[in-house]
Amino acid sequence: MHSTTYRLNAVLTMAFTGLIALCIAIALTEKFHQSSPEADLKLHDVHYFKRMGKNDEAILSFKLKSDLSTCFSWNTKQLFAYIKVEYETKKHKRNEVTVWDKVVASKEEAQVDQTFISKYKLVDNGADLRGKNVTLTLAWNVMPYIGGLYYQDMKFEAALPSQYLKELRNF
Amino acid sequence: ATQIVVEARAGPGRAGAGGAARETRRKGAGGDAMDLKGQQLCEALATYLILFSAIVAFLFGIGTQSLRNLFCVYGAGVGLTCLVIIPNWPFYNRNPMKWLPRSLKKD
Repeated sequence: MHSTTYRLNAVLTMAFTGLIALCIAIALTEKFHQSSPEADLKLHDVHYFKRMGKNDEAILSFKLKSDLSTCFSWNTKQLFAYIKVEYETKKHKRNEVTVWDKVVASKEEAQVDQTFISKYKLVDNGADLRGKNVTLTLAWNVMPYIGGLYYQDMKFEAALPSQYLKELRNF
Repeated sequence: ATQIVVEARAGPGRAGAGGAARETRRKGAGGDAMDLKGQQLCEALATYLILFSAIVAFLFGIGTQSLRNLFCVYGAGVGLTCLVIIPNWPFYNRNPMKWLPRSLKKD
């Protein structure tokens, strides 16, 4: 502490160490955050359902009523929410296809009561989707400002039509 | 705690103008140097002020559920610490160094 330069260096170094310690403490608080998400996801309609070559393809729409606002803690920057369709076929035991996603940037955006068409096509590796019982999963990643990303989800059941659609249906 | 053992004698040929300049510097008058007890106090103040800022900032941030508040309070605490410990305040110079008397003999 024998010169001004030395003291400036010392205080900045100590302040930075304190900052690191604060960030570690903030990241740890995320472990204690309890969230109570509510959601109800239903398959609204199927608009396109055909076999293209070797693979079945479908375009779905959903009715989603959900409240993910309790998933936001003081340290949450945003949620990345997505809907995936999970099912089992004879050819592959586990299939998961993401058909819709959204960046939820605030608590207000996390309260949803909407019917919407999916963003991405459901394409199977194979042609086994007719009449298939699928699990619609509303999943989200919680992305903190400081700390590690983590995953939560809620699952719902639905069934695909037993026959291909001859023509497109409007949303 | 910083323990600095200093043995100081005006060396041969350094008496006179050079010695006077060094003595001024050692007194810390308008210069950088603090006395040793002051340095000890300075380091302790720096450590505990920053620690205190961090704890208060964390509690205030959790209390108001705002990360921005946390970092603002911490920044203010660090700023305060800088004001207290960087300049050579008089209260750091209350125990001036007792130097041995200058020897004017030349070898």
